[in-house]
Amino acid sequence: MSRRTSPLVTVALAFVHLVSLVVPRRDRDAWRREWEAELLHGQRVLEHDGRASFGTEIRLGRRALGSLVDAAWLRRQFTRDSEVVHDARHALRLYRRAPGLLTLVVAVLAAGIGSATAVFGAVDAAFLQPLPLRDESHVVVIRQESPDSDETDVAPANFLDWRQRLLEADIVAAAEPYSRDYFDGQHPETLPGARVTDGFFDVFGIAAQRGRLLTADDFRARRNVAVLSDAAWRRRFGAAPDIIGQSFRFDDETFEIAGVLPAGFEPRLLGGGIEIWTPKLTIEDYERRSRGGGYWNVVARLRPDRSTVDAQVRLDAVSAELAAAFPRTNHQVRAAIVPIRDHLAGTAERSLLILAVGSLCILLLALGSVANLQLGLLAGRVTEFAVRRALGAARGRLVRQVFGETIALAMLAVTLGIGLAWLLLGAIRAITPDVPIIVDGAVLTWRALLFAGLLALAAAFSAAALPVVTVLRSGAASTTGGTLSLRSVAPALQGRSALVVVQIALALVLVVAAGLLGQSLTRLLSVDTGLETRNLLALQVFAYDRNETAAQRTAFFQSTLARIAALPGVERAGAASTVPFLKADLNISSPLLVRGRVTSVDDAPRVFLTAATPGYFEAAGISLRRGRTFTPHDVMGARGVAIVNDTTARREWPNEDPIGRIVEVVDAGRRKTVEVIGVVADLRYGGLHGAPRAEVFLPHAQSPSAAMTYVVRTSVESGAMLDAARRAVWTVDPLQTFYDAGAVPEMIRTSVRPRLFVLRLVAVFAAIGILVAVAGAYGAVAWSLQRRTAEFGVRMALGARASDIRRAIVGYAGRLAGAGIAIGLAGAVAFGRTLHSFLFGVDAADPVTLGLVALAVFAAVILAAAGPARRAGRIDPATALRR
Amino acid sequence: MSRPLSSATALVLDALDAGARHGFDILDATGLPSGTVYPILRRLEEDGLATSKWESARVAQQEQRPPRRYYTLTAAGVALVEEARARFPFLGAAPARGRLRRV
Repeated sequence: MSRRTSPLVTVALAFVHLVSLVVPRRDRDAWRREWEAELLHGQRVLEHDGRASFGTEIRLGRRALGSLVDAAWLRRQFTRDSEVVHDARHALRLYRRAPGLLTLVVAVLAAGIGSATAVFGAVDAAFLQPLPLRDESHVVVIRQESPDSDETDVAPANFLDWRQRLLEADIVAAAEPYSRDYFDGQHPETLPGARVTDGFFDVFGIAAQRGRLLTADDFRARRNVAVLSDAAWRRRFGAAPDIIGQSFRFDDETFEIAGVLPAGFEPRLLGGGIEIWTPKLTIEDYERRSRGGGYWNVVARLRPDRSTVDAQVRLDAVSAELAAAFPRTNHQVRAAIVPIRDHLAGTAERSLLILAVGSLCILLLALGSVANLQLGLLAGRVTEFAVRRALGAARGRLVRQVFGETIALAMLAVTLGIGLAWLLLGAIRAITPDVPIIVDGAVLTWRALLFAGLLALAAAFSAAALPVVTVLRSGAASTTGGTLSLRSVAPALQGRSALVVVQIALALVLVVAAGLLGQSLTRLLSVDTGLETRNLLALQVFAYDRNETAAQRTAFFQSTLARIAALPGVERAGAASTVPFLKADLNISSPLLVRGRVTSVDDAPRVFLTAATPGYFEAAGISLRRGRTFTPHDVMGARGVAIVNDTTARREWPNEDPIGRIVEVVDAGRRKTVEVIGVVADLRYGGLHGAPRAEVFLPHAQSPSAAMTYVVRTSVESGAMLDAARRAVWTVDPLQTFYDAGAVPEMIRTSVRPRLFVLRLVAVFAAIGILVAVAGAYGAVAWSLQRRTAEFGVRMALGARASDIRRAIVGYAGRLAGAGIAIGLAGAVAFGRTLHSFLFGVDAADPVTLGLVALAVFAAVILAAAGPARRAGRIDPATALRR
Repeated sequence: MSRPLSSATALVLDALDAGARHGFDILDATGLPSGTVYPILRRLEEDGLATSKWESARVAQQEQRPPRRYYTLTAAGVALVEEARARFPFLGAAPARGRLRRV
């Protein structure tokens, strides 16, 4: 166009262009050309007539506004007439005939898609998404493993040797647990903390959210600097934007805050939840020698040209050398390289696997029930399809329609399912101890949504498959007979029995899994912890700072315990250096040398040492089997005494009385001779599933530990007592912090929370499964009755009794159930292996559980057939034959 | 065909019969807004009362603009014009049309 177009008309043209997007594609081009031509013509006319002005052009431009109405009208016509809308409406009418079944199917499909998507989201976050670390494939954790311990923490001297010898690594760094007390002016608090060696943050290759992380300079210049976790910065320092460079007192030292870590940085070291990271400026002498007990965590960044295999080979050689040089501590001790992702995933893999199998079952059940629904509807639509074929409907048209119906169903389900997945993922994230995820946590990523979409599509297609086959076959039928006979769809309909069998099998697998998990949890919760947990509070303290000498420690715990015991509502109070279910388990081990037996310290059997105050066993409710417990007279300077637990007594003195035996232990590096004065019940450390360990108790006054846990027995259950106990300690030392504190029953509940979550989810899956299977069985039986009405009529006319007919129907249901149960039992045993690590006190192939569940499922299916069977018995032969 | 005949449709039919052929010309002739006239034209075409064609490229080139679409009544459309005039007597009366003019 050589002529100038006025700005106003240009705007109008642009508007028309935009609006044209509304017009159905088919007409869009012509539509746009028509409007453009009219507008340009209008302008030419105005110019030609010499009437072109702002006013006239505005009037012209306003006409373009009408194009929106025009386009909308065209779109509406087009949409209303489109096949898709017709099909969807048709589907709705069809489904309205069976609203109950439809609701069930959509709900089950939503549950299947939702749970599968949530599990996928969690798997995606835990295993598939790249970690926010630089070059993560070279970041590893190095664990210290030995065949006779589950512990994987590293002894300081071992770390030093590994660091020196691991040539495959750029950086090897360690973190030492080092909580910091912080006094905000009101109450002293403990910040879970770590001291790290040079290069620790370089291993991860992350950047600070604010300020900077620790640098080599900090170590060279020996600076007292600290890096805070995002959580600590927000919770304890109110997310102060100017915190960098400020100084705070932690413990008795002043630290300058160098930086804040990015949110979501959770390397899961030292038990996780570290809030304050400070440089470890000095390696102490005892650390250079300490190889026995591990308590450090070691990370490394491998050189880009070295693989984890190379590094492992090198470390194995180092481990062998150390084993030869230090046989007492390093015999069979191995340094194991664990890729950072495996370390972070922890035990999540196992729970996710169970949830994945569970949701897969639900998904299969859901697909089955959608197919079932379609087949059920198909039976009534044989005539519809035949008539439409006869009237000239193309096969493709009918196929598209069937897909339209199932896609409508799947769309509905996927919408609900994504909502469900979002909720479920939140729940999965809430059990982070078992499903740790390094970044902010799992969110529904586009990948997860895509996954949900694919599932929905799969559902739609698998549901449509059988009806589509029927439609495609209908060609032959319509040319020969003009109508479709039931016979021509029979193969498709036979599939229905098979579907129901599969559904019953899947439901059985889920119910068995729920049964096993439920039994495990019940048994776990009824495990004798050795403690009387009701109304029991526990508070863990590390009282090193102001109690350096043995006398100070004894005095501190004596006076604090006296104050706690004097509180109204407190029945008894005591303390021990380690108590089950608390955050820190001080597993101090020692050789046990029984007098009269010739053993060296190196060969002696080992026990765990625990210091306990008088009153500890009484307050904790630990039963005394023989002898006596500690009294205030068991003090330093008095005769050394000890109490052993059942396991130790059984191991050392089977069929003998341990009381009065003289033994030697190594306590705080010194050999100590003590006399056994009592035997107490075993305690469970490391969770309810933990095996009892051989334990020897020493009186706190003779083995004055600064790390102790108060146990407080109250007369009533009351959270307020916890604060009262804290305040009682503060009256002695206002700066004393509490590492962990709470009601013991609550701590036990927390320890089983991941199991409870898995159990709950599997139980819900099982409930859905059984519901769907029963509904499917009912549908199949009812349908078979419908199909065989004429047959039954004949049989009754020939003298069959109502009970025979009923038996035929129930027999059919029984065969479905039998086949389903047989397959399901095999599946359940296979799934049991996956469940294994979650089972406690019950076998994966527990015959009682399997038998009871099989019986229950059988009964449920037979019950579902009862209605149709009753109806079958009432068939009137004359009416039936007329049909 | 079974749709009731609205006064606006009657006006458009009348304009077409009177020789207005292009969309904007019909707007001028009837005084109806474009958002009313175009859907009516679409419906007339869909119901077989009018047909549309593109004017020749030569004319368009001479006037240096794209070709315009023009509408003509079919036989059925012409028949309906009679019915419309019988039903809405103001059709063909110039003053009435003037009052309707709104651009």
